[in-house]
Order: sequence, then C-alpha cells, then structure tokens
Amino acid sequence: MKDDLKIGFIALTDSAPLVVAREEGFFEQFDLNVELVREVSWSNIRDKLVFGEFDAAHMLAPMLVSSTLGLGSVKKPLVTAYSFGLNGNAVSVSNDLYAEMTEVEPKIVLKPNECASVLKSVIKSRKKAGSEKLRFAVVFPYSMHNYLLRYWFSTAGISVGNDVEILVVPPSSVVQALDEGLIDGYCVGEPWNTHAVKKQVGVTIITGYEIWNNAPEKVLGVRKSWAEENLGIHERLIKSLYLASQWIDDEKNYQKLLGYLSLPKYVGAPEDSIRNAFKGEVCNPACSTCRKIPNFSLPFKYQANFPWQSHAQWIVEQMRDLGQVSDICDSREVAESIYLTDFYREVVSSMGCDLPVVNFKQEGVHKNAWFMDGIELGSDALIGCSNLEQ
Amino acid sequence: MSIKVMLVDNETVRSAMLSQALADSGYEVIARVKPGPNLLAKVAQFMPDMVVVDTDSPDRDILESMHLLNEHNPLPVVMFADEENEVIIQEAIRSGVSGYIVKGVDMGRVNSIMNVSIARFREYQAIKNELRETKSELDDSKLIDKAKRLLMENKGVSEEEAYDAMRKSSMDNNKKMSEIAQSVVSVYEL
Repeated sequence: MKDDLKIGFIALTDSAPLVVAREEGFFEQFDLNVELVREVSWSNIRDKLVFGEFDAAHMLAPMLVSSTLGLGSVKKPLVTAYSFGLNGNAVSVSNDLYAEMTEVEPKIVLKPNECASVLKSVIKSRKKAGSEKLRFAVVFPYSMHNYLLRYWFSTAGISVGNDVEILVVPPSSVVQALDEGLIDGYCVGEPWNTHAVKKQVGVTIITGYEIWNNAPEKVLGVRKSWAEENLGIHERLIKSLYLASQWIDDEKNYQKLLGYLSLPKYVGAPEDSIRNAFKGEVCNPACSTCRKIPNFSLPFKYQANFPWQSHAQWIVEQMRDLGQVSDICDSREVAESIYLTDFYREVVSSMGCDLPVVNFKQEGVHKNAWFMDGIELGSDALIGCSNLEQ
Repeated sequence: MSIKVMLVDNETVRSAMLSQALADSGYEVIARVKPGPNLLAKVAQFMPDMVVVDTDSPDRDILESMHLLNEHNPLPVVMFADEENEVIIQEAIRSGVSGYIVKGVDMGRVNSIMNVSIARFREYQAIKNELRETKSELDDSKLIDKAKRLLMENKGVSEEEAYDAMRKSSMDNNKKMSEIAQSVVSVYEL
C-alpha cells in the first residue's frame, strides 16, 4: 500500500527536489504516491497547507515563522525538517536604472561589492533632480528576499521609505512588472533573474550568495500536527527528497534535470533561462560578460539540506528588527519549535550520512569553507561585515 | 454604511455573475478588474473596503503586502481571516476565492459577502464542468461517426455492420466506444 500525498510548489528552480523525486521514482521507492500541485502564489500555498488541502509544501523559510506566530494569516504552527537548498536569489535592475548606475561605475556588473554604494549615489542624484523614488519588489513580505534586500541596502545606508520603496510582486510576474516600468528592480529566485536578462528587460547586479554566503531559502513545510501524526510518512518523504537532492548535485544528470524543470507543468521556463542557476553564472548581454558564482544555487553540497536552527534564528531576528514580530519574542525558542533538526539528523544519518551534531552554528563569521568535526560546511560571510575569521 | 467591493478576476463571466449576486444582496461593487502587477494602483484608485480575488491569479501576494510594505499606501488591506469562522476561509480556498478587507469593516457583512462569493464560484465551476462534459460528448459522437465512415470505406461494410463491429469490440474489450473509435481512426489515418 502506498501513501497518497499532495504537495504544493511554486515554479522556481529550487522546487527541483520535488520534481526529481517524482520523475526519477524516489517517492515511489519509499512507497509514496505524490501528487505535485503547482500554485500561483505563496498565499495559496500557505492557506492550502494550513487548511489541510496539502500535506506538505515548498515554502519560503520565513513563512513558517509568520504562520506559526499568526502574522498576516490564521495562526497555525508549521514545522520543517528539510531544506531545499541554499542561495538561489539575485537582485536585478531595469535597463534604465542599470544605465544610471554605469554612469557612476562603468564596470558595475563585475563589482558586486560596490553596487550598493553605487545605487546610493544614483539615489542621491535622483533626489537632486527631483526624480521619483526607486521601487524594488520582493516576492512576499515574509521572505529571505525581503530580508536580504534590506540587509544589502543597509550596507550602503540606503533607507527603505526615504530612499527606496519595497513592494511585493509574485515571482512569475516580476519580469513583466520590470518590463512595464512598474518597478525599478527586484530580488527574486531563479530562473526569473536570468529570464529578465535573456529577454533584455533587466540586468542582474548581485546574487544572494554575495549578500549572505550560503543563506537559507526554501524549506519543506508541514503542519506541526501532521508531523506528529505521520512520523513514518514524514521520514520517507525526507529520505526521498534527500536522494533527489543528491541526484541533482550529480553533473551527469544535469541535462535531464533541465529537461524536467522546463516542462510546462513544473517551472515552465526555457532551458536557457533555467541553466544559469545550476551552472553558477550571472551573465549580462549588454557588455557580454559572465561572472562565475559557483555557489549561486546550492542544492546539496555543504549540508545544504540540513535545517539549521541558527538559520531560523537569523530570520526571526530580521523580522524583529523590522517590527514584524514583537521585541520580546525569543528568537532561539521560535527557531527550536519550528526547525525539527533532530528529526532530520535521525532520518538522514540512518541512510549512512555523517551530519553535524549540533543544531546551531555561528552565522556570518566564515569567509571560506570550513570543517566542523570533519564535516565540510560552506562559508557564511555577510556582505559588509567586518568580524570575519580569516 | 455599505461596503464597497472590488472584484479581481480573470473570468469576466464569473465576475459579472458575482457582481450581480452581490448587488442583489445589497452590496456595491465599485470595480471589476483583471489581475496584473498594477493591482496596487487600482486599489489606490478605487479605494474599496473589501477586495474579492480569484485565487488562480498570483495577485493575492500583492494584497498581502499592503499593510506591511507600503508605508504611504492609503489603504491597509489585510487578509480576511476570521478566527472564529475558519470554516468560511477553508471553503473559500477550496472554491478558489479569497477576500481582503480594510480594518474596521463590519465582519458580519464581510462573512455574508464571502458566502455569496463562495456560492457563485462553485456555481460557475459547476457550469464549466457541465460545458466540458457536453463538449466531450459531442467530440465522442463525431469520432464514432468518423470511425464508422472509415470502416465502411475500407471494409466495404454497411453503416449498421460497422457500428455493430465497434460495439462488439467495445464489449469484448471492456472499453468505451470512443476508445474503440479512436483506435480505428488511428489505424486508418496512419
């Protein structure tokens, strides 16, 4: 007897573990009969999960915090024991804003570390000229995109409200919104940065990896009550996704992966637009340069699927700084209640994998890859941070 | 005071049906718009008390951000999340409709608008399903006629003999007539 599951996802390259587990038979291998349902909005994903239409969902990590605390929706505790990977976002700007930025620094696409301060200079001149405030889009109020973009702005003293406005545009609509001039830039996951570049609608100026090395992104969200009642199914779900993530990381499967993702029922974007996330490249057709970002999107390497409670804690702290959650909220406690790190460790070590023995690590201090008890982990440096170990 | 409702829907027929039903119940629909990234501007233009949105459009996420991100937005809209009446939200989500409200509107009226919307969305879905079935019945009968004609031309049999042969095959193989007709057509049209 197979167990039937309904899982919701959004058309983004990091939904790949779900697509691969289904197409390559990993779900089947663990007696799971999974129906994947593509959704058009994060709100739909949240509500369908919360009200039991879905058993599990591809979710923005901060949405688990917002639903658990009842921010902007019905209060329902959600948990996760699987991360879909690290990184994958980037910031792109319109061709017009790009032109203004190149007036300040002609080689801006090759200097990601300088682009926030270049943007600040552009904002200053725009203010003098009496131009309109720049508008940047993120994909959801409770998203890494929102926190990463704000963090990056803060490194150059760009003030949200005074200098720029932030609004929400869903992932599949950002390219159109940029093209129609409704926004001047955005922070979104792939393939929607590369797609804008290919359509010559915008230019990618910095990747999420360069803002925070190996940042958390999407996780497998489930209801807390579901996780408690379905331990065995949850365990098999994690195992099948782990094998899928491992499969994705194997270069020989690369072409097949692009083929699956480009299918209309999954991401539905051309292979050309999907390729860069996995190839680790940011390209700019205007001056035909490509920058190598090997960790642009990390589906498996460096324990990318490990649900670090320190990731959740960072997220809650950003939410607190922004006033989305109350000042008295204990970030560590919230992180521990939502991230089932012990459960992940139990399940994945039973497959013979060596895993970190702790649930928290120091974030924002490692400039290079490093070892924790013999396990290689990626760097975790934050842009503009001075307390890095060498 | 009456609640001013704005409808965001890709299906103009459904939107017209719902608009009429709300008007019949004494609510004022001040605008019917198609989804798109410029939804914020539309909300600022029409200043509704409530937005009813089709969940097949990605615009829900835009509405969810209004009370959080846009400090200068004239209208903070929040998701209709009546904690005491979760059943309505659940049914709304299942029926493909969602509601957003401006703080301070009368919840009793909001619940009633949501119920009217849920009913209209379901009715519309039922009509669509019925149309689809009728269309597929029509397609089936066209296919069977074509298969009959091909058999008559290629086997030199009468219309009745062609039909009987297909019916026998349908019963023997426990398959639908339309499936048998489809295989006949594929054989002769190769």
